[in-house]
Amino acid sequence: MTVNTRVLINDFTYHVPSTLAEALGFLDQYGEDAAVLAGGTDLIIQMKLGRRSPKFLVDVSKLEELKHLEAGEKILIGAGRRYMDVLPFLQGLGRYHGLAEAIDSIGKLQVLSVATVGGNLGNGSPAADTPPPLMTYDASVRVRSAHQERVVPLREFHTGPGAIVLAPNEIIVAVEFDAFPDGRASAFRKLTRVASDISKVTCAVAVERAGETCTHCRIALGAVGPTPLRARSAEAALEGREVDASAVEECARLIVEEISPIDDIRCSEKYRREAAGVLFRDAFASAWERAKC
Amino acid sequence: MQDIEIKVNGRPMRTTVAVDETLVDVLRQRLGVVEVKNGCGQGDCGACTVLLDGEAVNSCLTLAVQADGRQVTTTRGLGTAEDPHPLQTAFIEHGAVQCGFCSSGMILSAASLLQQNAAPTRDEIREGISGNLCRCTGYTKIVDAIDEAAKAGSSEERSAR
Repeated sequence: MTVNTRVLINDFTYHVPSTLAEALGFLDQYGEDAAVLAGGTDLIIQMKLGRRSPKFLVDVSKLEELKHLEAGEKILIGAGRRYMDVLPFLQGLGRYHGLAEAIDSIGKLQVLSVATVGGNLGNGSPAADTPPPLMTYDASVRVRSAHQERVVPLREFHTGPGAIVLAPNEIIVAVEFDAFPDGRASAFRKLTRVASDISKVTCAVAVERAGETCTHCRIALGAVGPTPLRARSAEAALEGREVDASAVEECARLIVEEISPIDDIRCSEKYRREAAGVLFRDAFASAWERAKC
Repeated sequence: MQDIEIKVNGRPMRTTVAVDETLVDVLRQRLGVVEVKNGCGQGDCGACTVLLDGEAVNSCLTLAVQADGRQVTTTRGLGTAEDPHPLQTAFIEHGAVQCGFCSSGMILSAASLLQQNAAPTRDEIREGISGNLCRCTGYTKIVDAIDEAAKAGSSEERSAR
């Protein structure tokens, strides 16, 4: 059957709660029949393609409780904040380049104006742009249901392609991470066919240095496995070591071995492995240079 | 069914919609706002771009009920044949319109870009219209047109001071 992407094919009831408590009440009541609508740039497409057919849409775009932006000991980004609000917030803070570059890489105004960090996490795509930089920040996801709030480390959040740890009655409230200590810096690189395309490979790096020695290293990649992932063997190989060309090469080699990409319409497994090494070298060089200042 | 009111190019329009109707369909089929084009229907091509409260969105991914009580601007809202917007003039002068299907969305994205960045570089222009596909022009003339409109806009601002 040909898919007609011009129409939504399933019937649903639409709710616009005005408080988080009300939204959580709907989710508690409807369970798996409900879907949370934020910017809609993933969900509405999935509904048109027939991949998801919720009976109830809970539109969270009006909820002030999801719109916190805080910069103290922790940086906290409300799940309902749109990219176009988060980007200037990060640029104003001036030190979270990796996440800012990930959001800026989206480019497309029609996405920046509505899409949210919460939606990008909630959609669970292994190719999503924001999880790799957030993973290099050791970020956590703040999750609420009508009954409890819990904090899930982002590294445990994705469980497979399109799958996350949220229960049907839970909602992402915010993502948070510790403010960088002085001297930490980050960078993000992404490879796409054209600017507005879904990524073929992404790589994020966060580092600290003491002279030429790497004292802290986080490396995360997207679109090279069933979930966004940390390259732990590569991190371990760099941390505490003097950084020279051979150390970076060794690290790139470990990443190429550690990832588990697939062939798909965007590119081949072989290409992704090659590209992951290249993106890592670029992202690392950029973060390493920034960490010097 | 739900009653909604959308201000289209400043004019309040009321209609009754089903919750599964997208904004592009309601604009075109119920309100006669046919300058908004329905292309891919999945947020890739940008032909259905409108300004919702001044910001570029894909109206094929927006539910009509989400636009209730809000302002929608289409390319007709920017300017008319008698009194065109500098972007519209530049598109005509540069031959940036061929089949015309992308033009409405393209011009609105350009308007949104210039609102955020009055003096974009050519790279920034390309990035700003990366959500709008054109299958005729190869983009060169479109970028030329936006570049010129930006420069005209900023010199207009200068002369106004």
